[in-house]
Amino acid sequence: MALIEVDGLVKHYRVRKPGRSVRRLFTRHSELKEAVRGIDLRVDAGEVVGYLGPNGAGKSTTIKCLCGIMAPDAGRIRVAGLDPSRRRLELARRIGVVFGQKTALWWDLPVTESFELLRAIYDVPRERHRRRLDELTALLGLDEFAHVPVRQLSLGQRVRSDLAAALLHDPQVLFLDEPTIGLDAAAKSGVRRFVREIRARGVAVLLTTHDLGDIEELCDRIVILDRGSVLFEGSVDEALGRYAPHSRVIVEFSRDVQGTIEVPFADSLHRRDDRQAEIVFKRAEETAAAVTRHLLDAYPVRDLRITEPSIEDVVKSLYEELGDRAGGAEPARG
Amino acid sequence: MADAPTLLPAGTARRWDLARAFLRYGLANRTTYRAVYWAQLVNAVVKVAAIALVWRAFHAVDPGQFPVGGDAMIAYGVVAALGSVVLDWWSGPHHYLARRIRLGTITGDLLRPMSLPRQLFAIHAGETCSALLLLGVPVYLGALALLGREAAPAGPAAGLLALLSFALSFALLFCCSFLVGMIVLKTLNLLGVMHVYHGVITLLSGFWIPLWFYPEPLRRIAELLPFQSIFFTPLTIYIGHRRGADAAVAILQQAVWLCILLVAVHLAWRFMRRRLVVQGG
Repeated sequence: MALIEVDGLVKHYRVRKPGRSVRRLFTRHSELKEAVRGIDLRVDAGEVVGYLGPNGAGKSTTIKCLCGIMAPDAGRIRVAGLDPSRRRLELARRIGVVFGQKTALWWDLPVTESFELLRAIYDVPRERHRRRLDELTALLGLDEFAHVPVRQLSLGQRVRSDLAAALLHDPQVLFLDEPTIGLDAAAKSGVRRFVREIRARGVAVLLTTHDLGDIEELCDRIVILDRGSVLFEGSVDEALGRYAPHSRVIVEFSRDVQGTIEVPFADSLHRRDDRQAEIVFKRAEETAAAVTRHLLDAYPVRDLRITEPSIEDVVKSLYEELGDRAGGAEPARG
Repeated sequence: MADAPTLLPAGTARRWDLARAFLRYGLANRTTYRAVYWAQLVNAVVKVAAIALVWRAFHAVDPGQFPVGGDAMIAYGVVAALGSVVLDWWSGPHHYLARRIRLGTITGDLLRPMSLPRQLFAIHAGETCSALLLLGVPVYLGALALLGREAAPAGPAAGLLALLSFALSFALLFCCSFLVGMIVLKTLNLLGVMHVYHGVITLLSGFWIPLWFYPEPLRRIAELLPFQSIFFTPLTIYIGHRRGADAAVAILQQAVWLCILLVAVHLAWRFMRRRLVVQGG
């Protein structure tokens, strides 16, 4: 069952341009920026979809339209069966949102007080709230900082609190906007474990991230945007097949091998020296097993290493392809 | 803690639950920084003492210049100072909005199942109630104990009517500050707008100086605007300068201003919501 359905979403911004010098006191200039151009998207219950792209690609604008805090200029959106811009207040009870860089909690309030206020705002019965909070506390380890004001939390603790806050009212859809940004390895791993748990409970998750570890570990499917349009949609494997189709075998010989090394189906071959070579081949045409078998049969092999491409290679290749147009984000590996 | 009283209709129980939650929010916020709370308390005491001394001295110099007696003038000053501490127009919804926009956390407010004006009203009500309980009541009781009749209302009826009038003042001030917040949202400029706003409130609400001391043209302007309803109206009712029908008309005038401003709040929010562009990714 699709919990997020988007057809032909279009959103423009009017961005103010500062005038020159004293003239800016008397004149106002603005330009129309096309943030999202005809996006189609679908996320089913229990599915995590990675929503990727360089900075300024239109990811956050899409999320704001899906949450109902921005009205689209064109297109049809249904989230949990509702039109976000027309029924925002009703929709708010069915969705949870976490912006990794911005807390939705109140800065000076202790975490538990924030949760209590959210319980009242979302009108969750106390008993249900208590059960849910106990569950989230166990999953996210909130008890160690439950009475600490939000401003005193570490980033990892703050993100865990925001995740709990987004799920206290038991939403059907969860929007995660860079939830692991700035977190250390242990904290990232905890957040990812939690997202997997949420997915297993049938929540639809739309995940915006530059963190390739998030994508590899969590996403059933990815959608890659550039300048407001969908560039690619499919599984991580499909993305690997399209944008990083090559695998590599690095071979080390037990003695010097002179002359040409011949490997059937090799796309390219790089000699590092007489004792080392790198063979690049297309996975679609040959398996790593066949390449290594050939090398072992034909040459005095001391050691072999097979390098499979990662989603990082996909994103790198894509961003390089986009080049200066995107002016984009350097992908980080989680 | 038990659920909200189940005998109440669902809507009332929900409002009660919300009111209690936002009061807790206000109290928690007010007591977060201990030093800040004690500084605010000292500030309130100093303000009240200073204004009482100033009006007592002025009145003693030339009582003929005052349309009210010395006791009433001191009561006016004491309650005005307390009103400014409790209603605190420096940190209302406009200030909250500006801060949340600057931090980019306004998105969080917009994602909740409660409209932004209602959330801001609830937050501001919680903060005002906490200021009333933790600052207003103790300092008022202290002033009553020390100054006796000089700080007391003109009578029980005047006290009750002033209470009602102050409740309307709170709502009026909220509307004015919300509208200023909408300007901040549009211009993304807090300081300039706030300086003008606070200047206007200080000058035209009768908070520091009663409007009867103003030159005729300025007084007429003040009477045409809603700001005098925020302080001058409840204060003059408290000291008995306006009684009976006169007080009722003044309160009615506050209610009319409130209706007008509520419509303005509604229209402003509808206008801004359609144009709202949340800053940053």
